[in-house]
Amino acid sequence: MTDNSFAGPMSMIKINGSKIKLLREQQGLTQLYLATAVEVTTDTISRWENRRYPSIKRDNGLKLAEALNVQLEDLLEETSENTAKTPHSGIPPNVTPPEIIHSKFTQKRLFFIVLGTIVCIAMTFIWIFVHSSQPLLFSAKRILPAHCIDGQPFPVLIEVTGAPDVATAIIIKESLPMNGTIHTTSPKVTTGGLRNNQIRWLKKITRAGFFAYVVSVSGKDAVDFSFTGTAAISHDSESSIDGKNTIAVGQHHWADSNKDNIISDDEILAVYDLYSEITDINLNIDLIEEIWLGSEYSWDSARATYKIID
Amino acid sequence: MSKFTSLYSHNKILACVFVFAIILVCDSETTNAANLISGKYLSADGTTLILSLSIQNPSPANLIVEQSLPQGNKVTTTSPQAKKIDNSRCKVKWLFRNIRIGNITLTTKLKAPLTGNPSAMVRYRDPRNGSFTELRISP
Repeated sequence: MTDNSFAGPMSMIKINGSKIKLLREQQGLTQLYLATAVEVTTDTISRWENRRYPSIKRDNGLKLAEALNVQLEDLLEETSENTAKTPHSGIPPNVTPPEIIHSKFTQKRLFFIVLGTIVCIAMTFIWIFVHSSQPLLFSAKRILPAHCIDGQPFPVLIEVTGAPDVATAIIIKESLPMNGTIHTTSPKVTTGGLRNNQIRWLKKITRAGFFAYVVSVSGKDAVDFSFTGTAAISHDSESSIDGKNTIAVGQHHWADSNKDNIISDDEILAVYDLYSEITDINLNIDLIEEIWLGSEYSWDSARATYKIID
Repeated sequence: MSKFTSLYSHNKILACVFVFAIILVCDSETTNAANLISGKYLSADGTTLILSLSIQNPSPANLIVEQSLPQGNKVTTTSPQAKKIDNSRCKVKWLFRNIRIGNITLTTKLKAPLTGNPSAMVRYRDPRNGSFTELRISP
């Protein structure tokens, strides 16, 4: 088997049309004779001889060789000649399609296109992530204990977030319940900043700042008291302060968040973490520590004092 | 077929690199909270107990250390001064505020040589997420 033939009854073989023509003419045979012997048309014989169909079915090749009284191999195109001769006409139905040419240049170009697309998508996602996690222009949130004891002071914290690189003037207006009593504020407010149970602050902040006050409310147990407020950096940007806005009166210290009559390590750490930056208001931290160091406490409403059990 | 196989393996490598990079970026803040603070007993026998704590970045703002001793041991002094020494319950409690990165050494003096093994519980709030964290230290 030579390189220009393929195994199988329906396989194709590459023939040398010139040889076929020479052998036919040497024997004085006509194209009609060969066409009849191979059972094809004379046009087909003509195309074979003129190399317009360089590959033919092996069965036809065998019939052709028998008609010309030669071996099949005598009709085949030699290996060195196969690369030199390429048919220029369109691909006929009995000719093998040309082999896919492997283009390294095309493959490399496609690789870089895919790489560039992935990098662009990744950068887009990273950009969206960075910008979505940036804080809003400004925001204000109230931190208020869940409960307090009638007439006992507790802290209210308003956490404000502003633009990271620009000092922003912010106006905070905080309205207290009607029977609320303000003990102290941070920053301090002028006389005009405290009236009709409303506190007004004007302060410049960069990135973040705190407004705080200590207040007490008078009321019966299980009654809720509401706090409302707004924050603004301009006439058009006044918005409500987010966060907790109600507190209930009961028999537990405001730092005892789970009302188990113990100020635990977690609860005192929360107090320090939240309020330690506010240095100019009195939270009575010593009392909180004293309760924390004890094993238990209770509120004596008749004497308005805490009983601390060691 | 060989063209597609080669392209597929290129894309597979790129996809792995891309996923690894994303994981690296997103995972930058998931360090184990316990690694913020570590501690060990430098001395846990005789009449002097020395507990050393190492504070890493980002350090918690405040820290509580509660040391427990086996019954029968009596504490005389501590350094730094503890918030509470409860000899009836054999517990000593320290509170550290506004702590910084570095080391803290807690020394406990006993009236008599230690019997049994001490242990300490370190409690703090993780500054990254506010979660309450406890770390137990034993000799």
